[in-house]
Amino acid sequence: MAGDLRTSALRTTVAGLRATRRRRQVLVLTGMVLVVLVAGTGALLMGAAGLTPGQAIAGAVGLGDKGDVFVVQKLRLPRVEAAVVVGAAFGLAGALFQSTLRNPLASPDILGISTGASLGAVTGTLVLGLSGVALSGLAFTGAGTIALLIWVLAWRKGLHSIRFVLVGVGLAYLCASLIAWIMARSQEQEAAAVLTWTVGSVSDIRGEQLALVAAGTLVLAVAVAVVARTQGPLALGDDNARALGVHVDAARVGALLLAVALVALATSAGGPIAFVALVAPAIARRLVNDGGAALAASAATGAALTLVADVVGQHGLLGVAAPVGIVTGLVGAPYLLWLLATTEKRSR
Amino acid sequence: MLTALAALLLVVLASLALGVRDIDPVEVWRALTAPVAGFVDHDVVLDQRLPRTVVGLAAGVALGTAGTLIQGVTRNPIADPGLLGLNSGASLAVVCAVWIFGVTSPIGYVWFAFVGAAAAAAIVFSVGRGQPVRLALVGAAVTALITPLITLVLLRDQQAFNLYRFWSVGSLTGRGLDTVAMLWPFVLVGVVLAAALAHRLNMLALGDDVATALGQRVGTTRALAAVAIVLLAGTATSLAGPVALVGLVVPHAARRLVGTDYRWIMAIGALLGPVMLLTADVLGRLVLPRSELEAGVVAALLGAPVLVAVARGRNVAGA
Amino acid sequence: MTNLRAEGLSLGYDGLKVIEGLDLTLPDGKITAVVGPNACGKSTLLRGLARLHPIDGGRVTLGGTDITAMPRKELARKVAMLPQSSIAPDGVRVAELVARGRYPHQGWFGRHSSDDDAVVATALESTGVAELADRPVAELSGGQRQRVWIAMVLAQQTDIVLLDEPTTFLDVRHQLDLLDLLTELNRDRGTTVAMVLHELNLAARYADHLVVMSAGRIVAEGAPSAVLTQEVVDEAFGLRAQVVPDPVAGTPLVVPVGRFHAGA
Repeated sequence: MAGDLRTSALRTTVAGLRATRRRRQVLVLTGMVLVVLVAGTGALLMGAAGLTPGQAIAGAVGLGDKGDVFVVQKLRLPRVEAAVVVGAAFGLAGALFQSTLRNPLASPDILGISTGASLGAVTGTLVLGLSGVALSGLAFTGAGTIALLIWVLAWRKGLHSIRFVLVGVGLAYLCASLIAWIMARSQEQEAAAVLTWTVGSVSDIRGEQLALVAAGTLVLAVAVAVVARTQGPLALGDDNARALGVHVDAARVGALLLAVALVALATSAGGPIAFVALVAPAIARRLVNDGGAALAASAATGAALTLVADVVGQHGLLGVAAPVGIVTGLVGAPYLLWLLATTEKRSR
Repeated sequence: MLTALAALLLVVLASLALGVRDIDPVEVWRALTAPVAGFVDHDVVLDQRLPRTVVGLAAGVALGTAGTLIQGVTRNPIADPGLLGLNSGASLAVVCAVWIFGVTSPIGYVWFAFVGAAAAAAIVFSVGRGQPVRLALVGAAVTALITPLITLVLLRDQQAFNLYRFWSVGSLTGRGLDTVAMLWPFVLVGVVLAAALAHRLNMLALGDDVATALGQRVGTTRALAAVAIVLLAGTATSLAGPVALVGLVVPHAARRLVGTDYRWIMAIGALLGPVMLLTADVLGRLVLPRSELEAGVVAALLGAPVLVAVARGRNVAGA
Repeated sequence: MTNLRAEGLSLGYDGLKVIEGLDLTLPDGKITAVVGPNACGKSTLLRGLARLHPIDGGRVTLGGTDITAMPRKELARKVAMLPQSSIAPDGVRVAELVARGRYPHQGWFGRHSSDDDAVVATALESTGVAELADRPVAELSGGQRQRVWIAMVLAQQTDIVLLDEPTTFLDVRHQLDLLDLLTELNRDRGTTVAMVLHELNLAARYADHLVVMSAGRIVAEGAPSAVLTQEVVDEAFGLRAQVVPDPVAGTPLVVPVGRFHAGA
């Protein structure tokens, strides 16, 4: 009887602890959404045509002055939306890579998937003279090809994390080398244009392309939510995960496929916006700090990071109007370094 | 070990004897022993092939050793000078040298590259506090911080952009013996330090606790390794630019050849580094008719398949 | 009948046979200990029984059904396994880690119910780590950490629990604590326990059914008092030893001879 009482008290404690963790996740999510809202509002107000908050809101819903409506709906809002969508996709993809491969460095930047997209785009521009949708297509193909190559080359009776990561890093360096070589061999003007693409930018994503990327990201995010539950057991090691009933290879392949698709989609639209996929999950995991993969928080952090970076870059806070990819590293990396420097020493 | 030495000797000879211009091996020998001033064949050997061979040797030894040290200290099989932020630090310093000071000669920006690499390493090691996982993460974060800064400079300054385009490929040409003469002591000190640390890395591979229990001062080992890494990787990047993959592939290949003893891995790594870099350089001279591919590109083309082969092997470190 | 049994089981690594044609039935509701020299295939056997290792020949059945024909999650609701290579993720807390044992009982989106909380609470309680619930796993001592992992396995609520060397790295007191804990679970809940153990004398004391392995086959199995003889120890371990009754439990106590102490 006493034991039952104690157990039921303990059950309340357990539920309470779980609620605390959940609250922390929600808190981080809310915080990031707030950052997105504030930065987004700022982005709508700032610019050559200065708007009051009232005008901006009226413009956003299609009321008020025709010029304001045009500026807000056609120019500023799409850019904000693009930053949020692309950033969330990168953040989510990075979190999936890192938790599935159990390596905090595993991100599309370091695994060569972004670099593959860049190589596709660089070849498209400098060698084949492509632009626009064809260029996006080639970037998508580049990312996909590299992912496929990693897959084929790393597969040996199942997918081992360390093989996947090593092969990915090797291919990343290979692509980066080829990009550097192509750029060294091409005309100065063209090389400069390519440099801008390889940095990544959300300024030209609008209309159908934006809708496509947003819809794609949403579909993939729902799919991620379905596979997300395997991430908890997977983090305990392959054997433990199998003993808990996870199809380890299938789960890993599924998660990585989704991550690759997210990266390819986001990159084809915005270019390989540097380090969002690396930095956002690292920040999110440290903020949530429950030993989980922090998937939702990573997506939100990615969106917030990208949007803030775009606002900073667009409005010349660095002295020049810089594409978002330049600023993401500058905004995210110091924050990550600060988090790393202040986390208490933990013995591993 | 002997095979590795023989391979090194072979590529050194090939590097002196082979190139876009066909030169009789006899003339190559004469160029080295009894040069005739003004004879084009001799000038090519002495002024072009000899310096790039020496640069390749120094940079290769430095990269192979640094890569092995970095993987040993971080216990992370994907760690290399690039991931720890050293290459990006060097690159930033070089583009700044061009942008702010208008430096354009290799001998001028060598020191910038060196200081840049050292500064990046200093941040990484101090924030990383020697913990393997954190060290790698901080390295990646520092790279994430520096890379956009480089791009920012490149977007502003045409001259820096043009120089960087060629520098960042990684190449052994255009650097004179004077550059090597200036930097070789760093390589020497670095290699000696690395050799002294190899035994300690064997203990470290078993984990910090075991290493401590075996009487090692883990912190000291890491600090010394950091110094050696900065000396070696800084020199290599100053000499050859950010050559991709050599520092990453060489330790894996060495481990595959000689097992897990870091004393052997270190020795073989120091030999395989220049073998790989010089092979890349020699191949680069031969693949295209009347033109050359930079050593950096060829090293990446060579290194990626090797890395894949290593990764597919049965005993990958950490698998 | 929920017996877990191996029938003509063959297991190996990369073409190298470790176990060939092995038959074994884990008696229901009993504690089975598997002992044997290093590399005799005892861990591989346990992994094969839990479907962590691909089967080269023969089969493993649970209540007569081939386990490879079962959905993994269904198997995980009936057989739990604590492998040696367990990783506690950075920052994970005790209650959270234990809750991951609920995975096979959860649906598509992995939502925790209050039933899950109750199971987790009971698991924490019965392994004596309730007061650690909110502590990060990384901060615990070796003995505490192993209890937490066992709590996770208990949260799986299975009738059969397999453990691969659960007492390794624990001091002698914590080894006894842990084996007492497993005995308690076996007595109170009727859980079938099978574990690989290194320590012969503890295995003999705590096991109802002792399996002695050598070079991939079973040398002897049965009640410890019947199985653990001088001859069997010599055959399996190549070790000269005297076997005397354990003064505490009456079970066989293996006293090895060695080279320097010829004995009485």
